[in-house]
Amino acid sequence: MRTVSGFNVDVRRDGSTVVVAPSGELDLATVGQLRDAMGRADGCAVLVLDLRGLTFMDSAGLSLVVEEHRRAADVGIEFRVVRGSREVQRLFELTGLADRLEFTKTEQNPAANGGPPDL
Amino acid sequence: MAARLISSAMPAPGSAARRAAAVILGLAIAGGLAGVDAVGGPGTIVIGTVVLAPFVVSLLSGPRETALVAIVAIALAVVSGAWNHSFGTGAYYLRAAVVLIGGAVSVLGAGARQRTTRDSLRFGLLADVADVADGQLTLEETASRLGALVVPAFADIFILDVVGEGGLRRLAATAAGPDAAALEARLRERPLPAVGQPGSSGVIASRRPQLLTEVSDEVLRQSAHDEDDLALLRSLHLTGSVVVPLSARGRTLGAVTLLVTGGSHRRYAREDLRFVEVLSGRIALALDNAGLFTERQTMEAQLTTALGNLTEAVTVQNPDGNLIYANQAAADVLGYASPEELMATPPVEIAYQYESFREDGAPLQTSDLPGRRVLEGAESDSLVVRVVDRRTGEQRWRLTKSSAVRDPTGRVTMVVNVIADITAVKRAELVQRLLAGAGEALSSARELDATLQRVADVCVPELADWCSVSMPDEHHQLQTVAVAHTDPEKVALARRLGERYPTDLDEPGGAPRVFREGAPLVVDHVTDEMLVAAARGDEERLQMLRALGMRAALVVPMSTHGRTVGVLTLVSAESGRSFGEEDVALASDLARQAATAVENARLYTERSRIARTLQDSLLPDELPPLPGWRTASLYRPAGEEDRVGGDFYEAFALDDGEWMLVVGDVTGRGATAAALTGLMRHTLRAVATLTGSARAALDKLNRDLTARDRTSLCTAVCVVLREHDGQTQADIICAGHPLPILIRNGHAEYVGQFGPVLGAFADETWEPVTLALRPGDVLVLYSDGVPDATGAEDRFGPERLQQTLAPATSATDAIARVERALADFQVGTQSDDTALLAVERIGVGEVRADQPPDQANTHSASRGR
Repeated sequence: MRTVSGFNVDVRRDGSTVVVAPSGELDLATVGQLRDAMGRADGCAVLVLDLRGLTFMDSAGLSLVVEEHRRAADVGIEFRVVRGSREVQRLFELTGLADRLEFTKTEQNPAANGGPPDL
Repeated sequence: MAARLISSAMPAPGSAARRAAAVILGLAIAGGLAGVDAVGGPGTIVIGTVVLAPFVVSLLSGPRETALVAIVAIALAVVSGAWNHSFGTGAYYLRAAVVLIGGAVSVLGAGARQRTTRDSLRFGLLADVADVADGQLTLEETASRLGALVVPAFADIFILDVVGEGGLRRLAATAAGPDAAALEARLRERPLPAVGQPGSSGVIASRRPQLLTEVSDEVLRQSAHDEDDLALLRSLHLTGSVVVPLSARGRTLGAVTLLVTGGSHRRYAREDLRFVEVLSGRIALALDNAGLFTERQTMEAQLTTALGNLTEAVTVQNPDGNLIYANQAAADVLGYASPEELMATPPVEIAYQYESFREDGAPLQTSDLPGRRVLEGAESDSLVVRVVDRRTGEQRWRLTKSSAVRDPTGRVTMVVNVIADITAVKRAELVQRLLAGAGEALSSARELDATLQRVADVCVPELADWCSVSMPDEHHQLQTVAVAHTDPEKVALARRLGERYPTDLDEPGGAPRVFREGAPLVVDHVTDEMLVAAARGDEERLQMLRALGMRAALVVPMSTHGRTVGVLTLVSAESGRSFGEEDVALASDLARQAATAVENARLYTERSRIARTLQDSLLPDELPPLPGWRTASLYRPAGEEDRVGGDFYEAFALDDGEWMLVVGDVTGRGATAAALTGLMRHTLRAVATLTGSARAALDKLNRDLTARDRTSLCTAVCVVLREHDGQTQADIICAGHPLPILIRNGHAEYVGQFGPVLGAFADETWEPVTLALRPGDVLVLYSDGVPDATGAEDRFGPERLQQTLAPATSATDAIARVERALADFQVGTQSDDTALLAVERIGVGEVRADQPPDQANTHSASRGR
């Protein structure tokens, strides 16, 4: 299936920062791969989820982002999300999470929030 | 003539001593007679009688000795004139002439006699060699026999060199004399001559004989390999040699070397060469026979040993098809105590002991046999045959390979058959095939039937002629669910029998008993009485039972986890095979696998049923009638049978004639999602009904969800429909959910505003957007399964949904259009649940026809994303 074959997760570790960058379509069929990759990022001080490579995300992906956000808060690590495509960001807007999560334009430069919906 | 005699290789009769004795005797006779003649005076003249002396010698010795005595006798006769005073007289000349002529005749006689003796010796020698050729001696025995014949009769030393696999080798060296043994040993050890040296190698290479009438020291030096060897050769005092190649049937076998030495005073002459050539022909023949005999003997012994030890059965047939060889394995395979017993049995009788079948189940024809095909011209052939022993009913598999043995003209002289018993291999193969996939997880009752049919199919014809699978049905009868036979007509017959005369589960014997008791049943011989009893007086049933041709049967229970779900029946008919312990074990294994398949399918069906029941409980049985509204809905679960999904829709009444519509979606699928769906649905309904507020319901649900350890995100769109001041209003709240679509006058627009998702953060709040509705307006709520549906190139998407809905004229039409569009768009299996709910305002309340939707609160998709 398109949604499975095109999906890939890249994990980079830079000192105490771990950047997890999924690419392709993130949905119910592929969310498990990303969850596994995120699980391997234990022990870092800053966890960055780079959504720029995603072409699609559904509520399953959204659920994982929230899950990671909560987990990071529980264990006291910084969790940032690099904003994805308009379509991906639209889902955050749609679900009211754009204001709640810390979005950045790149993995290095934190921004206060994701800004208004790009509509 | 003298030269010829001297050169003759045949020995003079007797030894040198005997020859000397003969000369002395002759001289004595001559001297004695001459003495009598001299002493007796002129009155007694007997000098003529000296001619007796060479005559006697010619009888006792050779021409040389005779000549010597004859000369002495002639001399005495000539000088006798002195004492007889007869010189010049006629009598004197006469006597001298008589002695002269007599002496000459004696010498000639001695020569003739010697040649005769020599020829007879030679003929005797040839005859003896021929005798050796006829005997069944080994090569070594033959060589040593030949040496004994030739030495000393024709040579003093006999050497035989033969061409072997590793080149020329010395087969024999025979010498005469007291030191013969030591000399023979030394000659055997001598290195063989090189091609350039005199002797066998050169002769074999040139195929031309070599004769030396005298052996010069130069020849010895050429022949010698070193100084010691030269000393040895010189010590032999060779006087002649003949080396002749040995050829038989166009093949050079080796060379024979004959030597004469000074000891025997023999030499070889040109005419001896001719004889040696004849002799060598005979020797070659003797060696050839012996060689062949030895080779055959060795090969036969090796073959017999090798074949005897083979686990494969080997038989050899002559062109008539009769067995001329069989090893023990062949006897074992064919059921005989020994190869001898097997070979003594006529082929027809051997064949009749078995019912034989080809791999495809068809009876074996004689023309199928590889041996037959080889006799008809094929170089080799092989065939897998299944045989059933007529005596025991035991079934075996054999692989027969046949190859032709041909004579030089290409005629088949023998057929060699190698028969391997491949029963174990076949059985393993069968088990593999039978068990592979029989127990695999099945996901539908339809697949179960196919699997059980496959189980029946794989049993035929290897395991049985018939195979059927029966399971109890709701009428307490054992129903045949699968049946297999190689002949489709027979399958139809069995099916007819099963339909016409269903087997009651309470029947005392047979399959019902196996089903009840869970133990296998083997019937070795199905008798007609059994059929009559089973028919219970029904003539037609009896006919059908008889038509099945059952001979033996094996019924095993299909049991798993102590539960028997059916029976597997194997029937032997045409093949006449019986069922042994191995068959019972295999059939039981197979039945267990089939039972697992049945159980899996049952569990799966049950689970699907539970899932469906659960899902059905999560969906409204039917949307309740909403006064003033028409409704339509669609629910498409992602799975075919497992309908537990995360989407739901709902419509329920609040106080004061208000109605609340909900389309919700929980992340994930399966039981967890179903449980969450239950929580979500009932919380929303309970709180909204109690408080009359959708916001309060969402607040409560959000707090419950965020309180859970596990992140449980949900989205929902809630719409509260009410009549207010004569206006129809819809309060729309989206909690992380796609916006609803309003269809009005051929336009579709997104309405409402985004709100936070449920279950992410505890402190979220939601604000409703209020929309005024007019008659004919259609409001469509849906889950993200609609826009997220996967097509060939992209997702269905919000624009496509908007375009699909725009022309919709009613709630029902809206739903139908989406359903059709999704069906056309979707590629592959649907990956997410899809829920849709549409409400259409009909003529209740006063709404101005030209009033547009509240633009401030409408999110228009036409502005793009």
